[in-house]
Amino acid sequence: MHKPEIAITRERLLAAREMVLNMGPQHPSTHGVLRVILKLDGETVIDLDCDIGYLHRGVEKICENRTYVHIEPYFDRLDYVAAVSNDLCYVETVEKIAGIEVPEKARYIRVILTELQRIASHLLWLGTHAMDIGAVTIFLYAFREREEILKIFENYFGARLTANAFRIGGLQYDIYDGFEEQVRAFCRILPERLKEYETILNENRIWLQRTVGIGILTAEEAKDLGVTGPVLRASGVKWDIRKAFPYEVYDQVEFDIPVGENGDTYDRYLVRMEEMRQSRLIILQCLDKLKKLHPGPVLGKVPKIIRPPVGEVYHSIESPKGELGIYLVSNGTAFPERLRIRPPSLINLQALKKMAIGHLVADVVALIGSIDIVLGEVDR
Amino acid sequence: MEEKKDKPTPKGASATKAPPTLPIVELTDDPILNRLRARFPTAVLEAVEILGMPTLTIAREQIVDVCRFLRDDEEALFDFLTDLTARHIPEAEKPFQVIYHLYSFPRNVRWRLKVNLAEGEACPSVVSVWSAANWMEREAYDLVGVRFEGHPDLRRLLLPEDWEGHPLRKDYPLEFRYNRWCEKHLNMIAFREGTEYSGRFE
Repeated sequence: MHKPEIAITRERLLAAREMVLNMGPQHPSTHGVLRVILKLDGETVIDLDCDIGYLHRGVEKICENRTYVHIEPYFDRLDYVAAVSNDLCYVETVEKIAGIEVPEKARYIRVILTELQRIASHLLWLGTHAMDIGAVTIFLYAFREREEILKIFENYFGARLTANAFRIGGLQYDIYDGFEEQVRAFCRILPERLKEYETILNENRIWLQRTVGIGILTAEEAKDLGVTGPVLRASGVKWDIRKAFPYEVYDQVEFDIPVGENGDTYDRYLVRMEEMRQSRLIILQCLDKLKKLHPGPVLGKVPKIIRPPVGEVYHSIESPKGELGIYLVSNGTAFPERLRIRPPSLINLQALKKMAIGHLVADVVALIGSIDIVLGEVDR
Repeated sequence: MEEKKDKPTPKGASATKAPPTLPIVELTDDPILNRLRARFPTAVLEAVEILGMPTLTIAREQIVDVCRFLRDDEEALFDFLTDLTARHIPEAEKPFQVIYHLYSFPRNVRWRLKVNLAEGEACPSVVSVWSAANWMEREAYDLVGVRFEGHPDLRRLLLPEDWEGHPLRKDYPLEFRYNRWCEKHLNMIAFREGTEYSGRFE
């Protein structure tokens, strides 16, 4: 009779304490193609390694071989649920190094659209994150409101996902007739809809048990790990690039930076919910100021071929995920010498290991959701 | 878009003119820089300011000590590593450059540090100073091919582990060439004879 050399007996199996579990890359809760290798003791995570790069397409190398105008569409596809924010970062970097002036009206329109994009990104995060944890209803509600924003984008940009109308020096299009009414209508319904979500979640026992005290990141740990955005703010660090290094017209609008206390998954949820309210306030202030500027140019004076002076610049904005930065080195030609993208998702994902160790496998799903990663941006 | 890069125009004289440069201001009277120079007299090779960003070139051997000093010093307080990346400059004497962007939460100031490396030289790792450097150094190693001494886990981050070459080097081919990894895993072979394919936009 055939007998295996090492008999896998019931006793031997039960005595083994450690197990390696492969999660992803094709797993709905990893929000794309993230592979997480988990080392488990029973159901507790004792070690973790992330395997990324499945979506790597060499955007930085592509950028070195495109003119400054041609690079922009590649930025829509980095963080594909917040295309407008990425474009804003890129055009501002080039404007900064080339010294291109942007009309004030264009700046206000840019801020309105970027803040709408922030709300849309947070709504998508809320829906998918809640669905990962088991609350399916909220997914349908959040997408209902996101649809309203996408309708505005469809009217303005002509695209719902890869929205691209920001140009170096301003905007391609002026606002369409009825833009203000449509945005105001959305701002009117948003607070009550947010309250609706909070009724479902804030005191939901399952939601609280899955999020409170899960993946605590202290302020010191968050700074050490390079975490930015809502994850950093949930740990109690009151820092936002819109306030620290104001770009566009953020120094002319009033808003507050929501901060968490405990740095757990629940606080990250609260911070993002409050950020949506603050974004709405920014939009309303900008709409008021836009009215006074309305008949006016939206595109400044831009040379046909953009050749920034030799030098280097680092510019960053507060994207929905965190600090999105670009380090651009120019050699004086129409092609950049080096273009480095500092993706917030990649650097925030580094903190997953710190957060997950000691928690259960099911909590890893909640933690990946609460960092809010987009793999198009992680892998570039 | 008809005008091509680096192609001399008929006027001749304007084509040979060097492109304009951003103003580079010598950084002299910065209190942090003075403290740094007093502590490490040989570390700072160059200190300039470009577009309002202080940019320091640091000697390779002392980068970890300088970073630790900038993090812990009670006046500098650079407690956050924003970005770490590398560059390939084939025409330079030291063809590799590692670029650090530091940020200080209490002072709201950004600084840029640079380390120049000769071919084959490794850069000391700053993971012991900021944990954030872990993946950033892995990425710089992966894409530019700069080795980091003392990194706890220096593996490729984005590309497969058995990939050959480092794509962000200037001599990395843009067009598809024979690639062992692609042949093994994707069942791809080189293009047919005579196929022209260039990734560069002309």
